[in-house]
Amino acid sequence: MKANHIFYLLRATYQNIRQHLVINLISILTIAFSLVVFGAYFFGYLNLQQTLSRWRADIQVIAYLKDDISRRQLQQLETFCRRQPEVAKVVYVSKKEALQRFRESLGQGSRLLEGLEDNPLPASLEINLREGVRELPVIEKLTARLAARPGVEELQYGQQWIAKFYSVLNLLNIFALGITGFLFFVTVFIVSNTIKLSFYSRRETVDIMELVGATRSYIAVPYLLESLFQGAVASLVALGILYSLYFSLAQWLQERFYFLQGVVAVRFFPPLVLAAFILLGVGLGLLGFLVSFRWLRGS
Amino acid sequence: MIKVFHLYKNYLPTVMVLQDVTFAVAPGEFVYLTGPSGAGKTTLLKLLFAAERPKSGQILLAGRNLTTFSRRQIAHLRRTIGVVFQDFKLIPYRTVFDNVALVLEILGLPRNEIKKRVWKVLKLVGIEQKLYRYPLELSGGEQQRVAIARALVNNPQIILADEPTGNLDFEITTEIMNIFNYVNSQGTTIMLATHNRMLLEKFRKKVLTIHQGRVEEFSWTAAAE
Repeated sequence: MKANHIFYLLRATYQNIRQHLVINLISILTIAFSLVVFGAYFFGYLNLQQTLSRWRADIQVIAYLKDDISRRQLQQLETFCRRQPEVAKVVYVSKKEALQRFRESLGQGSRLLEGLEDNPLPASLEINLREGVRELPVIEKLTARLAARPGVEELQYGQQWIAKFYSVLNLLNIFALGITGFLFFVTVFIVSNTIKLSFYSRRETVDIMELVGATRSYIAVPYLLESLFQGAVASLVALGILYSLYFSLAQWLQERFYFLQGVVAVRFFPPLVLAAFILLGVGLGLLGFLVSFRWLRGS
Repeated sequence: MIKVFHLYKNYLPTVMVLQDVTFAVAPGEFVYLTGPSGAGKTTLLKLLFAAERPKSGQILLAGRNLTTFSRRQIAHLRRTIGVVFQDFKLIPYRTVFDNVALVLEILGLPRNEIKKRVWKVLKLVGIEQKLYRYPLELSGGEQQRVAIARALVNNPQIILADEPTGNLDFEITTEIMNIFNYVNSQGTTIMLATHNRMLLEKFRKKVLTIHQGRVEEFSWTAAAE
């Protein structure tokens, strides 16, 4: 292909877009709307995943210690815990610290504790787990090993809660896969039909270009570029709309549900997802072109 | 220049549109293709510029056998023949200049060369002052001039015209025919389909008459004999 060809094809693409501005705008808005629906769903899914991940990071095993545990036993137990491959961090909480924490958590109600003569709270080891080993079977194996050690009174790791948490997470992932597939299919369908409609009025142009000796690839290039342009612009428009929605939602959550701060965090797409979203728009444009141009040639 | 041997064409299995059509047009000849509506004139022209494939038979254009051409070869062939239609077939959202320049852009000629050649051919057909108008802003006669300019711009050896004056009045028809005559006088072979008796009588040429898909006669018009 000569350099002149590239210039003529780019010029033809520009002319096509300019001369069919309204239909291009309609296509872009339709594609953008489909992407907003898809993006809004994905935004929700991503944030839910992030929140659940944060909760998962909080999963820890607490080993409550017997009151008569000796200093030597405690040291041995701490060393044993640190040597376990699943363990990331071990923090010793003395009886005094435990009471202090309890007092702080009660706030004004801490006066209730004033009459206490003995500290009823046990000392404990807070054991944080490494990422990737926070699954229930792993935790159960670890606790079995710990339970056999001298000086350990009781182990707590929210067994029921963790089991439920993981079943919800699995269900969510399966459900998300189905919804993503369905929404993607609907988006592809809408986009390809929109691009097909935008080409409809130009069927005769394709015939004319063939009559004057244009090859199919030469005819196709401006349509391909136009579809990619529509996809890219639509994804940017969709991102703009999604960001406004996110901004409004974040503000609303902050005003109405300020007490959820730190528990539920709403975040916009990270840069990688932003790039993937734009690529998705361009990819949809490409897919729409492939479906439409095959139909256009067939006519 | 155009040689057709035992050409057959059907659209439905039982309906033969062209049957055993054989004829030859010499280089530089101007031939009318005539016959009643439905005789097969348009189909024959479509076969000559490879918009249709024959059922059987051979078509030689400038010594090349069209019937064996690939899609890409057909595209290249069409750049060397000019085709003119009754309904002009102009791209409505491209200016007169851009419509005519299309063939040269496909060839990848430089912009300056295209400008020169388009201007020259538009001047030849007498529409150079409407360079940047859109087809729908022009009259039927003007649109046909643009279509002829597009067919001529790459100096084709052959021009195929399907009822090019079918929608035009007598005065415009005469002007269009004068353009075709001039182009023919420069050595271009022309095959023009028409069923306009007045045209055949006023501009006497060789006539290929088709009736019910068969060649009925291939001779000079009566007035010339």
